[in-house]
Amino acid sequence: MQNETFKPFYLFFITYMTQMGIVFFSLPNSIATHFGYNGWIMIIPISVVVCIQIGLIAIIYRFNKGESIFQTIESLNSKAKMIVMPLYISLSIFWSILSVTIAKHYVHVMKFLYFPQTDMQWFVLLTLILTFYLVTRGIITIVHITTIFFFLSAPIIFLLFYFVPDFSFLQFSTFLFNENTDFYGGIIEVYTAFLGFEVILFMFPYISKEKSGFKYVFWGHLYTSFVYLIVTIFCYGFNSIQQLTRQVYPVVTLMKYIEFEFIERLDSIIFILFYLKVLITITMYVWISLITLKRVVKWSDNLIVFVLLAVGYLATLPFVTKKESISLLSALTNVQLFISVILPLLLLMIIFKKRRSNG
Amino acid sequence: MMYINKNLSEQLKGRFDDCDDLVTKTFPELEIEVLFFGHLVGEEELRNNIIQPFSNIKIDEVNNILRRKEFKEEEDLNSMANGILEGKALVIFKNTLAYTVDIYVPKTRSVSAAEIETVIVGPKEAFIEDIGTNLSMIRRRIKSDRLKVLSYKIGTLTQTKMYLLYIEGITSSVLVKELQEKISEIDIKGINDLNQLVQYLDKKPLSIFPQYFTTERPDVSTSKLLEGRVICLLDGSPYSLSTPTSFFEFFQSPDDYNQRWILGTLSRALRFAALAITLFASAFYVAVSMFQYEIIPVKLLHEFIKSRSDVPFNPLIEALIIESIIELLREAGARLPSKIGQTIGIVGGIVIGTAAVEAGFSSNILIIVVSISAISSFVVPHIIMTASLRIARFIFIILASIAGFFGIIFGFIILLIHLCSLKNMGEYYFKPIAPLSLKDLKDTIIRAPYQFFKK
Repeated sequence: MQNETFKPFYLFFITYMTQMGIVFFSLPNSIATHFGYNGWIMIIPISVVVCIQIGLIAIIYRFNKGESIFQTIESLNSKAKMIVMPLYISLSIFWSILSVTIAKHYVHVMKFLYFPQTDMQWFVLLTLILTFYLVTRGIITIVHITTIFFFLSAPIIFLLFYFVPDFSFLQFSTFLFNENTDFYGGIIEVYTAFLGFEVILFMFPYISKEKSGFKYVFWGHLYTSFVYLIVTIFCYGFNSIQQLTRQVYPVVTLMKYIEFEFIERLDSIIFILFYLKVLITITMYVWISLITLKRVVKWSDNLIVFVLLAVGYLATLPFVTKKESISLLSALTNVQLFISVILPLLLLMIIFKKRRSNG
Repeated sequence: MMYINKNLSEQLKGRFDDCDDLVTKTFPELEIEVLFFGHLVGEEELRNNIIQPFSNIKIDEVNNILRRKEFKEEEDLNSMANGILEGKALVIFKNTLAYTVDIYVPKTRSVSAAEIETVIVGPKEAFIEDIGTNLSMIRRRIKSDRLKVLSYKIGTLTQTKMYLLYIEGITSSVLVKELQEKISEIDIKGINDLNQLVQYLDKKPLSIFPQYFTTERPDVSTSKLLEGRVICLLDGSPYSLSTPTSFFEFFQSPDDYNQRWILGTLSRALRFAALAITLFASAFYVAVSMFQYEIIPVKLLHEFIKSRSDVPFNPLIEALIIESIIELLREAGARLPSKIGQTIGIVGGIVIGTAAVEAGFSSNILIIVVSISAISSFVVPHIIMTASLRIARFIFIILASIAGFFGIIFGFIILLIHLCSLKNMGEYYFKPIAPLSLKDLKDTIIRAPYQFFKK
């Protein structure tokens, strides 16, 4: 079966939309608590580190000429397939739990902010229905939807102009990283905000072969960095550091400030528009767990996605409160961070070993 | 080879037994009998081709006349019968030889201005029910031998004539072949209109959206042909079908092209705004009044609450009642003659609107919202798409009542995923947004000046 492919420029939208997630709302807060004064500067070096990571993926893409990474792994030797099967299954389950946890986290925040009396399980189920519907349409539709969602949600950034009159450079102060609490924890947390780029690894067979197509991943990542940076700078310029450390979701607070003639408190609309981005992040992780599991079992896509979502839902059921769900999410993202570092390195080792053995 | 049957006339008349409209004309001294349906043939054609040549001649001259090229010899009884049904006159000579003469002149209305897809600037004429006239309207516009016309018969009983048009070199031959296959797969007794036929062709019959573009305007059909699409014409239907279809075609009007580009672009923007309003306005009202009061500024909130304070229903019921009344008015307006139609407008607009508010059935603001969304739905140039959007609107209202803005966005995502996964003849329905093509966007979201269209 020949895969349908998509043009490389879609990688821009995929990278940005997968990276951007619910962390965005609390990012200025965690930067302020972890790094203190002028902590926004730390986004830049971490973004550069992620750039290097993406560079590794680009090298893998160049070397295996667009073949899927599963083939790369399984071609190592004939017994490899037996060894990696359990790995595939556990990764697949891990990703499905991760995506359900992300969904739950978003729903927790939504319930906390806007629907205090509604049972959150409904929203989780609705999200899972949407995810199921989207993932089973296939990667091409996912990519198209990602692009549309990008254009629907991207104009929000222009709302920042609203804050220009109230922006004060005085808030920045001359201190650097004073009052920081947990510098290394902060680095990890900001790094996890960039997670999502690693799903590109699984898309190799679906990208149409064009010269220098991979640059769009870098552009997507740079755009994410730009958005993180500019929003954090605005939060720093708009609030004092003390205010920032006390607001759980500074970006939501920022949006609450907006008032127009006919409408105000735009945050409720924008927060729900953000659902589009979160849905893409969830969908991407479910999709990679789908194609991972497909290497092991020969079920239909519908069944696999259903099983994966059910497993993810049941596994996260014990984590009821927002606090539990956040701690679960941070544990899972730390594992995902580890995977995003190790997997490209592992693949590079395999590729170099193959090249050496092939002469 | 000669088909010899002594009782040709009897056999044919036997087949048309109880068909009292069959006309038989005999020239006894020439041993000629002519069979035809009087209402299918033109009087002048009948006189020129049949009556005049056979008048005042001797029997040995008949063979000369029958050798003329308009006389086509038939050997098979079925094709003779079909010939009569298609509006030909069947000339039987000496009860053994049969010839058909095409004197078909269908009695149809004359070409008139388009009534549904009206324009301000540009050609006014619309297709009529006769396929020959429709084809001539397109041929007249494209004077090229590259315009190909394939003929089909649809309906096992009705044998409705159907033409498939494409321009060689512009339209992909794969597309033509695929459509031919699809048409040949249709197995029905008969068909009345092209808008019925397209529903047989639908790939996803459960979708609420029209999957094939139909138009009553020959100028639109011509431009579709030039864009590399395939056109279908059906006898008896004043419509043409074009495929592959895109969602955005339903938001284009010839006015966009005939007027200046800036007006074309702005009116398209207006239409997309109307699309958003018609889908979301009432749902937004329901979401705001049931869940998210906080987004209304304080000054406005006062009026908002005042207008709702007398209404005994919850916003969902209120919105559904008013929306249903609008639907009733629209349906009544569509079925009534235009003179009574105006009365409906007055009854609906003034009496029901004002009275509903005064009786405390509905809030003023909702009446405004529903009216605006009803007006917006008619901004969309194609009536079939309007109907789909109206159905979607009801779904959005219900979703908004369940979960506010989240419900709306839930429905919206489902809608988008559905639109993006629809395909029509191998092309994505949501083109050029998905797949994204910047080149085609110049003529979808905006209407750029023609100089920009050149590559």
